[in-house]
Amino acid sequence: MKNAPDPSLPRRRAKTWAIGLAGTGFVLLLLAALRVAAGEGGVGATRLAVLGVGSGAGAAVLLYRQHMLWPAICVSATLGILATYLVFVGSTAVYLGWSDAAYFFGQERLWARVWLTVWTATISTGLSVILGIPVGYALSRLRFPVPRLIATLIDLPVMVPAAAIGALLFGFVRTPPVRNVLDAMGLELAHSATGVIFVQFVVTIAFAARLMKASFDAVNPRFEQVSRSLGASLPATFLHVTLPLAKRGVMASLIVVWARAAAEWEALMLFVGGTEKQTDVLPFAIYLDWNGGMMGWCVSMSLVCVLLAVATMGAMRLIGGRSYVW
Amino acid sequence: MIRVENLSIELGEFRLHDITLDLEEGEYLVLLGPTGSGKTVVIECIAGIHQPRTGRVLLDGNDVTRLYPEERNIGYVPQDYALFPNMNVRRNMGYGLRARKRPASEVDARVQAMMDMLGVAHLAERMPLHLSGGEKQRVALGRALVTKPRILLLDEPLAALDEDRRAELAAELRRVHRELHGTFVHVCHSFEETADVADRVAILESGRLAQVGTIEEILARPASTFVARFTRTRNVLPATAERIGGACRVRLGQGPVLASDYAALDGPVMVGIRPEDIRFLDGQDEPANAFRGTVVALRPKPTCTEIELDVGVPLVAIERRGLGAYEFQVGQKVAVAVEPEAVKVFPRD
Repeated sequence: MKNAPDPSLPRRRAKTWAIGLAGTGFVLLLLAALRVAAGEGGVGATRLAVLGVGSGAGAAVLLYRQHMLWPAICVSATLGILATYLVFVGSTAVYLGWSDAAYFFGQERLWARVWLTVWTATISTGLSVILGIPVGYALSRLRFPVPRLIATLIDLPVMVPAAAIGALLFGFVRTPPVRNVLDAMGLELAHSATGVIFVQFVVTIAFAARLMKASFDAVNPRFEQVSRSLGASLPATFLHVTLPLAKRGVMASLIVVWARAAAEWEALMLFVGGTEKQTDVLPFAIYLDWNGGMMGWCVSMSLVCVLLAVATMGAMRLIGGRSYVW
Repeated sequence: MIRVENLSIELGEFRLHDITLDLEEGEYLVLLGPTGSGKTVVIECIAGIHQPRTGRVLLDGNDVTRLYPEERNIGYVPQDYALFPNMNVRRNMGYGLRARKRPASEVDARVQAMMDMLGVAHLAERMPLHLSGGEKQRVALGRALVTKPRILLLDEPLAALDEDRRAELAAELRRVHRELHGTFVHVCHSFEETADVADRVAILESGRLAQVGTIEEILARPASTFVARFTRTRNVLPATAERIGGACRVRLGQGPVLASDYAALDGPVMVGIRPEDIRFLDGQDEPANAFRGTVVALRPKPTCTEIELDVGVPLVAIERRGLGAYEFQVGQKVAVAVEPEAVKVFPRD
């Protein structure tokens, strides 16, 4: 029995020992690091570090002999990343401090920026989805020449850096026919919320189309065939069968698109430009205040961004459940 | 009533070649063939899911080849039933009528009547996820039938069911067919299932129509060795034929020489003999086409015992099981005979 796990120790106890050893190693290394940080390095810190590494190595050997090393590595990596996240946010909060946090979070300026982000992202998401649903349906279901080429072209804005899109838009709105139309409609894109929505829409439409395609791909075309054989037209089939069956994917896509729209700033910076109270959506506002050296504002808005992301993901779980897209 | 004319289509590697089929009003036709023979593609062309490359589909004399599925009034029940998972049984069944914009009262009445007829009224509020295979099949059947389609296409309707539910639902299909005077096309890969339901059978072999006829006709006169094998002619053997007038004599390998009335062929041929056409002799009489051999193996089956014989060539015969049936032993010497009309002769493939 060459493949049998080490028989001298039951698996359960081995696991307990490994967790204990690894935990001890981690604490020892942490202590060593603290000593170094406090300027008390030297022999004591080295001893602690060696003990810590040895303890971790012991855990690894134990797990290896029980054929549990690989899952342990995967779980440790996951927990490690999670811990890093917590340290990020936690340290930022500590850096800001309680009294400053209370001050910034009480400021009208901050909430105005949050509100601007939320409503522009919501409108641009709406537009992206309204266009993304038919495009996604076409890419998923309808036949047209050179389908791969067309799908790739539609996908381009996902791959092209947003800054490049901003630069291209700059040229686009200054070319005669487009310019004349915009002038006639009285639309000013530079330094305006309309411009923000326009940029968010252009950047997210490709995401929307791609995610909608994935949502429709997940619906078995058999249902549509049956629906049509029962006398329902293509649009009726889409409305009563395809869309309801793709609902979860569509909802999840909606939230991903919203998050992307709310996070957009590269193209904004090039194309719309930053103006206080006009185009300062959160990511842009962080950049503006950073340049102004207002670190308290930067940090507090970053924390709001994290809270927004948490809320968004929560909403996704609540509405969409687990879907194929996410 | 429905006519499929010179239908050809290519789908990736698969091809249908020049299928022509006629269906009478009120007929129950089974499209029979092994996996990959193109049965499903044929009904999908009739339903309008695929556009054939060449050929036409005629419904009551009208060319419907270029019509969308929703413009054809042809019912379609796919193999997995495809009940809409977002609707309960009642809404699933009413879907076609609602799509046709019938008034709600009429939809309710007709759906109720259909549910009563199929015995699924107690499931009306259930979601498809919570139905058994047989229940799903009935609901899918009802959903297609409630709109009174000109034809009903059934793709392997019994394949997903347990063995013992299959016969029951086959009988149910026959009953529904009779009560509604419907025209059904049923795709299936099992000859036993076919025999349970079909008025007429069309056998497909790799995208081509191999034979069309009633079960009796196909059993009595299979058109090729493929059809013979597919309809459980267990003994299909190479032989050499010698034409004698309108009949022939065939020599089975190193084994017996048999007279056949089936066809007048010469040279290398294939011979088909159904196991049930091999008669065991008591010893006294010596009819035509009698020969001797040894029992090599016995395989008990539910209603008969398969007896493998060595008569110079391997041969499978059967003996019914039950009280009073003759008991064979391995190694036993036996004499058997085959009527000349039961010796089917085919050109060598």
